[in-house]
Amino acid sequence: MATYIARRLAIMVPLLIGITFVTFLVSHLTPGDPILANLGPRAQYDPQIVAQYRQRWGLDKPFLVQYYVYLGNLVRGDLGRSITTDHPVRDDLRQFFPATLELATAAVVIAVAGGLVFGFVIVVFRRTFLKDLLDAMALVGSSVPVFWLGLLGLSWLYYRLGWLPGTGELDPALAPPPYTTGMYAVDALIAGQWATFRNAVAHLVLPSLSLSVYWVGVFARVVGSSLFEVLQSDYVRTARSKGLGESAVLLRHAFRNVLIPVVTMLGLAYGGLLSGAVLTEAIFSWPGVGQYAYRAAQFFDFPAIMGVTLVVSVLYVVVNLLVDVSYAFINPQVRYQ
Amino acid sequence: MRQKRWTWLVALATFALMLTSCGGGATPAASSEPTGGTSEGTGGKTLVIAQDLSKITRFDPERIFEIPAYLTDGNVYDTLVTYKVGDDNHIAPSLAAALPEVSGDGSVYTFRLRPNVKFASGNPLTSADVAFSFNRLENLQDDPAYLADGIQSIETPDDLTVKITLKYPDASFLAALTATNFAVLDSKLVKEHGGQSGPDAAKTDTAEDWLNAHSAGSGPYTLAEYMPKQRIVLKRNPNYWGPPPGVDTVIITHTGESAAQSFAVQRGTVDIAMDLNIHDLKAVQAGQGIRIETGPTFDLVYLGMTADPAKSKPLSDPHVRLAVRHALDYDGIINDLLQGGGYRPASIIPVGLLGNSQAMNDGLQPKTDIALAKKELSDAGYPDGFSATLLYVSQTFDGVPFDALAAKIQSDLAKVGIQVTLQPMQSSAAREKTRNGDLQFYLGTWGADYLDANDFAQVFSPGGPLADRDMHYKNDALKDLVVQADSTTDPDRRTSLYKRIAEIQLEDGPWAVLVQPKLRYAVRSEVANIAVNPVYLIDLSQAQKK
Repeated sequence: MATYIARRLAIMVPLLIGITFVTFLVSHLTPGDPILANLGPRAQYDPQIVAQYRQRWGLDKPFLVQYYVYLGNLVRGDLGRSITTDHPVRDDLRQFFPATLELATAAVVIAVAGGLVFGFVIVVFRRTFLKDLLDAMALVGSSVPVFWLGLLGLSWLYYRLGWLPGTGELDPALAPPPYTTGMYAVDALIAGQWATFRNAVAHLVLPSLSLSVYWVGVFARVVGSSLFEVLQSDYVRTARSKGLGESAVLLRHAFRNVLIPVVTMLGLAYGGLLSGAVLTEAIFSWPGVGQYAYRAAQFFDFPAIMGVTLVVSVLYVVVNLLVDVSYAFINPQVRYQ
Repeated sequence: MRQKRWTWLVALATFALMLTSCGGGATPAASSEPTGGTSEGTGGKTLVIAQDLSKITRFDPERIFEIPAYLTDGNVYDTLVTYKVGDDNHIAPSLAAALPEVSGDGSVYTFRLRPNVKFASGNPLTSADVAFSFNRLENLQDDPAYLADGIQSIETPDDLTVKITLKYPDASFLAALTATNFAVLDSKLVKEHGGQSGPDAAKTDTAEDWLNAHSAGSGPYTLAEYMPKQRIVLKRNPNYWGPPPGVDTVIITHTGESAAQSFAVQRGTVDIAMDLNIHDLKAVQAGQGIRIETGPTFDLVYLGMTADPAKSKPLSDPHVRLAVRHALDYDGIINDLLQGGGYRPASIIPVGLLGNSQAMNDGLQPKTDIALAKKELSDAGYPDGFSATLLYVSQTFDGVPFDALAAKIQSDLAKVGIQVTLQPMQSSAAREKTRNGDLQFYLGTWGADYLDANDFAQVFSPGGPLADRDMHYKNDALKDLVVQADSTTDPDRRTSLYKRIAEIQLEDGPWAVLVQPKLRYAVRSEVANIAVNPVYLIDLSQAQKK
């Protein structure tokens, strides 16, 4: 197992270098001029300012030299400076990435919990009204745009009823908790700031719900079909013939086997939720990496584009590794050499 | 092993439940209520503003160019002279004790500074700070550097005297000094953090990071905290030389969506909402306890028409451009599409600037006259019209939705037989086209860099970037007039020259100016004494809150 993990981690290095090269190439080949996107209309017409700008952002050098310089800085842990925020990319990622991670994690938790409950209900109560209702919900959940759902939620639960707070990670008057992980709910908990913690969690509810609705539907279907299969299997028939109650059969025998496809989906969902966060972040003014990447792409902010790609790639690779490793724990038949 | 896994699952489920149920008890904190925890501004009054911060990149006043950042810098820094709100064409002294003495030929400006002014740091403000700041603006070679292009030299004969010599007489210089980019910085403090003002400042200055998170000004507030795309916190400056503001803390919270801003101001989560669209402004107005504060921008939204026959044969004919100016339904655009959210300048100089008084403007406005438009078209040889593309950036500018505006232009021009194809684009892609003049119709914007007619006459006339590069428009007589107007010091003579420029542009020019938008902010009734400001959006120096 340890060698397997070490090998997987070692493959990451050439993989990530490859990713940086492709991203660098694609972002530089995209037609468009960072000067036009970022300098004001007057400054664009001033050759001296334009030359100064190209030099400052290293845009005056040939492509391969730019890439070489970037790699060299990267090795020293320097991700460069973002054009659109005028901050070091590393500081930006430290600030924006945890916000998205917090949102995506909350959404994953809701999606898995909701998917398990609904999936079981669909199978156990099949041929009933409840099943049709959940089927309909899963369908609606996977076809309604996040944008509309988010605004609807804000309009009702915040504006009309006042049950939940509005946009942002915290109420405007609250200061963010001291930085530990960058995730406000977690940091507030660590610092023991209960009011801030409650507020941060309350602010998470609407965005993570609207982000997860689609995935609740997906998980419910995966759990449902997998459970249906498991219930037809020999060992379930044996368990039943031993005289075990239905709840014991479901929870003790079926549940663990249903988890395998759920864990596989989890890796996919995490990636999907990270990228799906772009729209949710926009509606909820969530200071996450999705909006950061979106603006960076619009304004040819190469250092920021590279930084986001790198972090997301690392995360993808790590999540996939965790998914593979967790199979071994869930199903003792799985072994890695 | 099995036991452990079950515990883990139970914990997970509990967390999920907590997450979904926890919100039930939390009510949105109105900004006036104490929120507990680590609330900002304890023991003082806090004003909360919702603003879209996504476009802000920095706060160094000698580098900023993004409009939303001027709200912060304008309330943190002072300039020598300032635009006096509610009094068109009027420039009032701020850090200067009085308006400057100007030499007979209009090229030397001598300022006496207000005595006993201190920066927020406690350092005294002297003429050396002014020289440092203006030199730094010029030598950083960043976006706003061109504002200082005309400065030949700055002398400081004593601590309270600044003598600025220009390269050429420039009647618009005083107006340019009202721009927040001409803020006076605490040179001692800025130098401590790597600030440079010498000729090589573009390479040696390292104060940028510090100035993005702190301030070095003498204004009513200081920049206490900046978290990108999240929030800005301003604190009252205890050393402020003017009457102290009525609030201790201003929190500017990032709210990107207009609908979210409208919810927040109606529930009282925020006191001021700055980026409401027309639809939400209406919704907010219908509610209780909120008023709309209005002020002019000195921005223009215009329809450009190429003068290059290679791009569009019909549009290169001045008669056709005149026909377009008479075919547009200006009142429909302003009253229906924008719900009254703008003024209607006759030509390229906004209403209310020197050189375009309201009375003069009303006399010059082209009238909507379909018959006249059709006659001009057939005189030019296009009795059945022609077709052309309309390039525009798909955006909302000062509350003007460009997609809807482009559709309105399309339907107006169809009435005289001009078939318009819409070409919406992202801003960088559109810029790629405009810089080569690769366009036929173009829906564009120009914001005042400083409040003077010259800023507009120059860019929209031959010799200026919009006329030369975007529209390929040539007219030597007009070019000479613009130079002449800017070097004239006599206000009456200047006014008549700008009137002549506007008339020529209306007969021959490549523009149909559509609207000069208004700033419209929703303000809760607990808040008083805020002044909408065309330079830095809202003057918070006298803000009061119940």
